[in-house]
This record gives sequence, C-alpha cells and structure tokens, in this order.
Amino acid sequence: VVFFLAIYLIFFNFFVLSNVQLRNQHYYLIISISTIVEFAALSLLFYNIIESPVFKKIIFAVAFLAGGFLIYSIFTTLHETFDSVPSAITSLIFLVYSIYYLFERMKDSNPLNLFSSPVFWVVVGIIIYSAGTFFPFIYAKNYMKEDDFVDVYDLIHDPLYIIKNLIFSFAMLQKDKPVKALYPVYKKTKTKP
Amino acid sequence: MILLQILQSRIPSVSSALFFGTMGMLALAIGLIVFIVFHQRRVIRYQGQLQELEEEQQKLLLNASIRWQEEERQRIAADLHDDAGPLLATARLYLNENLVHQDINTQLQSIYNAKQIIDDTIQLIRNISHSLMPPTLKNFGLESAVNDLFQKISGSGVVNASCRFHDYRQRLRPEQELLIFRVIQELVNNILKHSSSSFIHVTQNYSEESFFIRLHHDGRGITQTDFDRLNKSAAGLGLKNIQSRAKVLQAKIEFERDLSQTYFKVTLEVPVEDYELIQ
Repeated sequence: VVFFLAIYLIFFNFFVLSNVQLRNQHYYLIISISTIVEFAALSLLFYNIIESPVFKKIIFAVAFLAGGFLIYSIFTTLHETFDSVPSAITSLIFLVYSIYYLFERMKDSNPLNLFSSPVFWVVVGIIIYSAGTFFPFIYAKNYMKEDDFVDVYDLIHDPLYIIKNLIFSFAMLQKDKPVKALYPVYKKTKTKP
Repeated sequence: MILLQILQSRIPSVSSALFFGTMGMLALAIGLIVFIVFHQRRVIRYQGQLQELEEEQQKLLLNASIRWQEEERQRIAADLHDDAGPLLATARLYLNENLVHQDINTQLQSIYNAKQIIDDTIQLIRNISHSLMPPTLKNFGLESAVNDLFQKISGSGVVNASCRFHDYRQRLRPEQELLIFRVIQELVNNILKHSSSSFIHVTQNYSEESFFIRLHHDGRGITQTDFDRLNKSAAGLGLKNIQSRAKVLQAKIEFERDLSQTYFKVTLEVPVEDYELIQ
C-alpha cells in the first residue's frame, strides 16, 4: 500500500500538478480526487495493520461512509475553492486510526521490532502530517483566495509534506522483521476442564 | 519566518489561529509519539530485566539438574561399590584357588554359597536398574506405574494412596510418560517426607489438547508462591527438578490450596496436541 502511495504521489506531483493547464483549470477537482485516492489507500493500510477485529469492522464501516461522502462531495461542490470538509474529515480519521494503531502497539508484548517496522514510521508520518495540516485545511475553504493566508498555508503545509515524504522514504528503507508476539493480544484462551 | 508572515498579514487573527492551532496539534502529535517511544523503551528495558531473571532461573534449574544427576550417579556408585562390590568379592572368596584342594562337601557348600551371593547381586542390580527405569512404566504405561507405586505406599499402612485415570485411552510418548512419572514420584516423595498427610490421591484427565494430572493430599503443603520462592533460592533441589522436568514437557505446574483449606492440590498440565495420534 505504501509503495502504491509513493508511486501515486510521484505521478500526482510530476505529471498532474506540473501540468500548468490542467492545474489552472481543475486544481480543486484534482485535490478532491487525490483526497479520495489517499483516503482509500490509507484506509486499506490501516485495515491491514490494525489487529483488533472490532476496529477492522469500524474501519470498513468508516471507509464505506466517509468514502461515500467524499465521492458525493466531488459531484455536489463547484470546485472553485479548496473543499475543507473532506480533507479535515480524512485528517481526523487518520489521526484516530494512527492513535489506535500506536495504542495497539503499546499493548504488544514484543516491542523490539517496533522501531524497525516500516509501518510504524509510515504511521508517524501520517500522524505528523494529519495533525499539522488539520487547521490549515479547515481555514482553507474561506481564505484560500487571500495571498497572506496562502503564504502561511504554504509555510505550514509544504515543510510538513516534505517531512511526511521523508519519513515515508525512511520507512521504505526499513527492513520489516516479523517476530511472533510472545503473548498475542488477540489470542483465544482455553479453559480448564 | 512564519511569525513574520503572521505579523505582516492582513488577516492576523486567522493567521495566528492557524499558526497556534497547528503548533498545538503538532505538539500533541509529537508528544504522543515521544510518549510511545519512551514507553516502548521502558518496556524493552523491563523485558530485558525479565529475561535476565529467567536466565538466572534457567541457570539455577540447570545447576539443580546437574546436581541431581551427580547425586544419582553417586547413589548408583555407592550401591554398586558398597553392596554389589562386597557381594561379588565374597563370592570370589568362596570360589578361590584353594577350593580345588578342599573336600567335595566343602566344595559343594562353597559353590552353593557363591550361587546365593550371585543371586543376591543379580537382585541388587535389578533393583538399581528398576529405580532408573521402572519396568511397569516401560511395559504397561503411566497408569500401571503410578498404581504400582501407590500400592507400595499404601502397603506401608501409614498413608492411604490411590489414583484414578479417567481418560487414559492410549499411552503418551515414552519420554513424556517417564518425565510425568518422575514428577509424580518427586511430589509423592516430598509429601511423604514433609507433609504428614494421611491420604494422597491422583487423578488424570484429558481436555482441550492437554493431559492433566492432579494430586491432592491433606498434609502440610506449599502454594504457588512458596514454589516460586523455593525455585529461586538455592534450596529445594527436588522442586527444581520438578520445574525443569515440567519445562522439558512444556507443561504448567500449579500448587494451590483448596478453598475449604483442608487439602493441597498440585496440577500438572501437559500439552499433548497429537494425543489421539500417539499409538
């Protein structure tokens, strides 16, 4: 999933956003579609890395509902300005998923492989980016036309975007060591006769 | 730079809200990550300490096992040296070179005496061999071996020992049976030596891929806390042997006191996943 996301981001940055004509005409539509692609990819990632069966069901339900809303918002909005609501919602959802993932890892009895796990670093990247861009995304809808706001927005968003990609790159360099947990959290226990 | 942008901004309230909101969110996120990192490091340190303790425990068990082996060897050596040695030396005396110069009656008497001594020696060596590997266990299985052991104990008239195997459809692997038998033997030995109990009762069950042996007695016993404490101390060689055998069996052993406080119970849970397949 992360590899797909990396390929997608390369494609998105180099081919879509670098196309000036396309960028000028459909910038906000591209951003909305990109939000959906990122949301789908990261939902799939969290679905795979979170162990709790209950939370997996929640992810599935949230993906269905929020995905539906994101697609609905593409068709109903005019794409004349930045659409804050879908971006803020996805940021919030990823924050919750990331916190739950970290909480699950905290309960893991085998923490030795956490820092060498690429998934951990991907989640760190997601949590930093989602937390940092939450407020800029909320304000973007009303103030994106203001040059002063755009300057501050870029000053916050761009470094965070670079940091996220650097962390993702670092994550890809990590070699995952799948070590079986000594006492898995979700293991069935048997009763004595 | 961002602060400069905010100060020069035409919408300072929005810019400052954006800046401080973002900083707050980032601080929370980084705080959470730092907390996780420190927590994991603490867990790793704690697990390291646990591992050290476990290694220490393993060392104690290994020492106990070596000591037990040495003691067993010394006992066998003593039996052979003190009992078999003199017996065979006596037999040799009867069959010395002078025997040919004796009269026929003396020769016959000497040969008869030597035969008696050799029979005794054979019996002695058989006893030593049986103590190393009980023939009942080898030939008829755990149930018969425990029954045999308990009949001998009951025969003394001091302790009433009984056993009941509820679900012993087929025998376990020979090495498992020997280890379980040794654990039972050691437990019974401890009860006889220290507990002053009037009865010992052993039951066997099989459930959910585990073979259960439960031993009850009404004397002075130990609980899991005592067992763990004695296992960590230098004393309690027998208990360490029980623990190391349970480890080899990958079994769990639990010492507890009955709720009615009238008797003590020891449960040995041996995982036997392929029990149905063992023939």
